[in-house]
Amino acid sequence: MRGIDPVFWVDEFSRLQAQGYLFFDFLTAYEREGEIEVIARVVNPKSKESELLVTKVDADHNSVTSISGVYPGAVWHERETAEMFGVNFIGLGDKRPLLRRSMLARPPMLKSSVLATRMLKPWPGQPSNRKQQPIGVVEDWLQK
Amino acid sequence: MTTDRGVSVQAHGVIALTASACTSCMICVRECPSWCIELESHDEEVSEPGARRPRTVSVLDAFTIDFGLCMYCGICVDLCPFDALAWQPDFDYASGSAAGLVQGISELESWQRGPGASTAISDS
Ligand code: SF4
Ligand code: SF4
Repeated sequence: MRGIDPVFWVDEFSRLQAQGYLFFDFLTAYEREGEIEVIARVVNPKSKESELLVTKVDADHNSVTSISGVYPGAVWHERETAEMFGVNFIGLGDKRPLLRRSMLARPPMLKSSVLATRMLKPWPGQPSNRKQQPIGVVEDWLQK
Repeated sequence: MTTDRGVSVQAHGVIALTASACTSCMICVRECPSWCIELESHDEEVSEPGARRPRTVSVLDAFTIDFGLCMYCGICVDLCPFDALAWQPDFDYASGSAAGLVQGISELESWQRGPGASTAISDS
């Protein structure tokens, strides 16, 4: 995994593509310590080598430059990352959401977003004789 | 090793339950990130010849996995302290409804691979 300065994010993919990394595998994001990072993998089908690149999303504008101009296959992944993490991909032409019907609620993959399904369904692991908090679930989310 | 369909025997196909090995400890239920395992049990006392006091054992009444919610992460299989859960490289359980993907004890037990299992395994 190689960290890339956001300024060179697209350039780095252009450079790799010119070197034979023709297969775009995936792009997604994750949240670490409150910051969002975008991660993508490309493969050189001849040499079977792959590169896993990571960049930080600009915290003020929640944005990163789209690599869909270099790898058109990245459009689907950037659309999904946009709707799930709220990342704004600068230069991405198609911004239609893939899975969410309404974009009014917070992006569901952020750790600070309350997951409605967690509130609707009681936790099946709740012990009968004491109260226990399920792992990874904020207390306020739970059914009272 | 692959099955006769060329699937790796280690594939996360379906989760098989060995109900007799399950102690209803609830570890899998609590650790499953998808909340898709549910379990009901009750305690029973068994007196064994020679034992001074009867022993309390947990008896499994219901155990379901909703494969419509399961994300096949394998956490339940890895964490079960009694090896009551195991992956099997079987995929033949598509359903026309979401409810049809919820499997109970008898269905989950039917996936156990042993002598005479329906899918042949080869070394290739
Ligand atoms: S494989 Fe993962 S999601 Fe599926 S039942 Fe086990 S712990 Fe839950
Ligand atoms: S972790 Fe294993 S023994 Fe415990 S309830 Fe789950 S299947 Fe049963």
